[in-house]
Amino acid sequence: MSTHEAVQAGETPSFAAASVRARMRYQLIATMLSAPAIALMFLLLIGPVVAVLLLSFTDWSLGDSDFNWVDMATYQEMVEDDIFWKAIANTLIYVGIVIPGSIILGLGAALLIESVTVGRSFWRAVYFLPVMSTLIAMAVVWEFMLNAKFGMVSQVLGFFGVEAKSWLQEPDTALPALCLIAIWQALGFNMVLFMAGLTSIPRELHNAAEVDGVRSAWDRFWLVTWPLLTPVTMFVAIITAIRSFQVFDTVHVLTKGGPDNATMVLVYQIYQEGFEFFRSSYASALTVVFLGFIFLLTLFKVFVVERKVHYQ
Amino acid sequence: MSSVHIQNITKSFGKVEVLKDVSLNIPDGEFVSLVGPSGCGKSTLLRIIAGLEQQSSGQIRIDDRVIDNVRPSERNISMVFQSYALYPHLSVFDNISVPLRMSRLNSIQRLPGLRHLLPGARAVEKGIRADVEQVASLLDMKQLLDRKPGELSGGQRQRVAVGRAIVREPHAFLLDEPLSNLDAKLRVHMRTEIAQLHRRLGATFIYVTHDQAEAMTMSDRIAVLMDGELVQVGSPDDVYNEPQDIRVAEFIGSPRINTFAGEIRSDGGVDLLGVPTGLVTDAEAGPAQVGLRPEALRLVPVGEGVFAGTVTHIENLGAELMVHFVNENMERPAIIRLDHIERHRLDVGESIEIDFLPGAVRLFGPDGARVPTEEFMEKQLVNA
Amino acid sequence: MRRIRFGEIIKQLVLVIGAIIILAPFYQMITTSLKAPSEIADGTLSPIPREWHAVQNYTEAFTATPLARYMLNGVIVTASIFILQVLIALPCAYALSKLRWWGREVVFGLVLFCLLIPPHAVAIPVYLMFHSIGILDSYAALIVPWTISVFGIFLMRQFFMTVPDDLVDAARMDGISELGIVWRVMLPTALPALTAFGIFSVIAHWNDYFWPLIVLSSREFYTPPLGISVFRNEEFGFEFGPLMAAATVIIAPLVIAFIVAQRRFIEGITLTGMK
Repeated sequence: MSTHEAVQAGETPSFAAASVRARMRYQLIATMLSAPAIALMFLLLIGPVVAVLLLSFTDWSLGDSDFNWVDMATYQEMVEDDIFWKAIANTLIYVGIVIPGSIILGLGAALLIESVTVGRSFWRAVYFLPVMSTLIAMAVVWEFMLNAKFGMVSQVLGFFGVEAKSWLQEPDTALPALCLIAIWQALGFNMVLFMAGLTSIPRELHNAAEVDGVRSAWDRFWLVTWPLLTPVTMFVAIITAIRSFQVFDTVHVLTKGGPDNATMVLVYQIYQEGFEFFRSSYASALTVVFLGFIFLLTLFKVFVVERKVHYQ
Repeated sequence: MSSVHIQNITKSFGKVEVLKDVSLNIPDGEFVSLVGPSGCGKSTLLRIIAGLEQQSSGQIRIDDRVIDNVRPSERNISMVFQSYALYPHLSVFDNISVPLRMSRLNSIQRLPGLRHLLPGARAVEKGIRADVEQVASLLDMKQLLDRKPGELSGGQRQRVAVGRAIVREPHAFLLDEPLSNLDAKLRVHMRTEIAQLHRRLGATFIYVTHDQAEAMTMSDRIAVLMDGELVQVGSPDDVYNEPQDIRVAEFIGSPRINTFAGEIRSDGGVDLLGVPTGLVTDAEAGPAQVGLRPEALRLVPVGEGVFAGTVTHIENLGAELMVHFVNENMERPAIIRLDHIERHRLDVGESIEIDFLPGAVRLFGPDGARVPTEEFMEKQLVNA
Repeated sequence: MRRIRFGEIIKQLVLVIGAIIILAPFYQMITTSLKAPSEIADGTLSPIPREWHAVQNYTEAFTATPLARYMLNGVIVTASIFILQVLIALPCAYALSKLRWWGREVVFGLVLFCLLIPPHAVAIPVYLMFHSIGILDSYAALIVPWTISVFGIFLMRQFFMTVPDDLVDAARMDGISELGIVWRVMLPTALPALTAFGIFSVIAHWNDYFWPLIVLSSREFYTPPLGISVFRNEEFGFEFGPLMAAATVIIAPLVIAFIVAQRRFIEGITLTGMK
């Protein structure tokens, strides 16, 4: 009896101590497990973002031994830079064409493939193939296809009586040609996301529509498919926008921003200023603008698209 | 309203035959339940009637019109789905008005937004609003019309699904386990409501359920499906009292009917656990199964019973008691239903004696089919 | 029944036309890689070359530039990146999902914040950093920036959240250390998610062009995309045969892997596409 009490009395504090020790132990373990990730996050992501922000307020260029704080002077220069505005405009046009193009075609492909009875996985694989292919290699192929003399595109268009051009070298067709390549590549990706969205629509809803007197695929699309697919569509639009904003590879390989800055886009300008002219501060200011766009899009995605739980 | 005729319907999915030559005539205004255990093909049959599934062979008629090649949207049949299948993005009002818009507006007027702009469409919309509101007041859900399905409780969603079905005047209503997603209490309540709705509309209802209690309480007639075959069709009383197959006897009624090992003697007499039942039959001699509903058994004083047993378990349901008992000849415990007043006499482990009325005995052959019996004491005596 | 068949035929026809456009570049690439320069200059679209030039084209692709070396570099870089990403992300994802500790929410917030940062945005400071410590133009320069994958942490953490705590507790009762739990309990259960992440990571870094372009100057470290771009600029101005042969070789590994494991790839991309 007394020993029992003694044990109990003695155990309470030691138990608490053990619990504190256990908590300390987990704290230590968790910190150790995540330390490499945290360190690298600061070193390679957060630190550099802060550095870009700071650099944009200096006049530093790679190779300079020291620098001055110049407040907004770099941004001032940027606002007065025609190429910058050209790059912004081109990027927005590019995004504005690629989003609807790849969404409409991706959705169309998804709907068609889901509605046929044979060859679904075959078609899905075919339309997805460009997503898997190294864009640089395919850009080189597209350059060849768009070659005025012996490219396939010129020949096929020639068959329809359209005059052959050096599509990538003409100021008015270079950017659309890049959009075409982007749509060609993004279509399959969007299609797969739409297919996932389509399969999440309950089959009974389509049955209910049938029974309610919906006769045509057209009515079914507007009554059931499209409304239920809206969240997916918004989502696909945003990620397509984020990806398109980062267009660089095709520009660098095929047009170098030309002709006459007709395909100058934001990331390409960052690359030129930062790694060809080594004007680090100016490139940083451009990067801040670029980051601003991406942040806006992502915030829109997080707060509008993902929060907008229509139903359920 | 119309009659529905199901003729020799079979349906196979690959090699699996889910419906085997099912025929059923449903007169105008009848409430028929298709009942059976899950996987018996009842939902498939309903989907064939709706046109959502194509039969492998056989014919469906509505009145005199063969509808086998008619699409679901052209059959003018409405359906309440198990999951309700409400359009999640539409308000209750819009959900209920979908069938009306589909039939009354043309495809241009139906385009999103246009039905409020085109003058012709506006007039039709007015009529639709009136009809929807009438249905809403009939189902007592006028206050829900502006809500989205996601904001409704299970019972309210179910009501909306019913509303969408009754807003037009279809040839028949198909209901596919409409109560299975509700909690037990609400289910009992909705049973009454649907039965009342049927009486008020006087329409043809085809109701699929795996719950025999729903079928018993609501239907004019019950059609029992087992393994793709229509085993018996009849009124609830009929199916309960005169089951034509042991599977029907076992499926209908809760608690389940007691089945005992029996025998048809060569003289035609029927034995139950080796005890004569006082029944005779013309069927061939051999083993048989004897069914006795729990309420057909009676507890009698020691010495007066036909057979004895030991109480293994007592379920107290308040108004009545289910007493489980077993004896050495029985494969599994049997159940006897007792009034509550008899409770004081019993305890688990106690020995009891059981009696029954010969008229309550249902005899089934080795293949499970019902065997007709007669209650001829004299004949038995003569043969003895 | 007849109407349904008719619709199906129309749909299949539309799909065939779409597929022709989708596959046209592949067709042009492969057929050109088989043809002689004279025939390419004629611009014929015929699938079968008049004169088979495949051996010459592919031989030239591999001999005129160190294409095999580029491919090997690609394998070394993508494999190293993926292994390091897993080694760093998995323990962190475990700590974020299955341990209670002070600072957990802050770290997860950081992860979410870092998800927003596109790789181009940090290129300048990271370049400057590598420049100052002198590791530009090396395998390290190609690999190190990608060792931290916040997306990997995020994805694995989401997956680990669905693993029952009981499993972790049972492993603790069996005397497995916390790090042991990560590798011996969580990793095997997370294999589907890890596969998806692996597919995502390998595709992204096999195809990456921007970063190698910036940090590399020596050919010996070139990855396939950089290889083909240089190829095009210098080696063969108008020698499309070998150029297309090289393009075919570079896209082949991923395309073949995709054709072999189509469903895996599409599931993986769908899952990670939600980024």
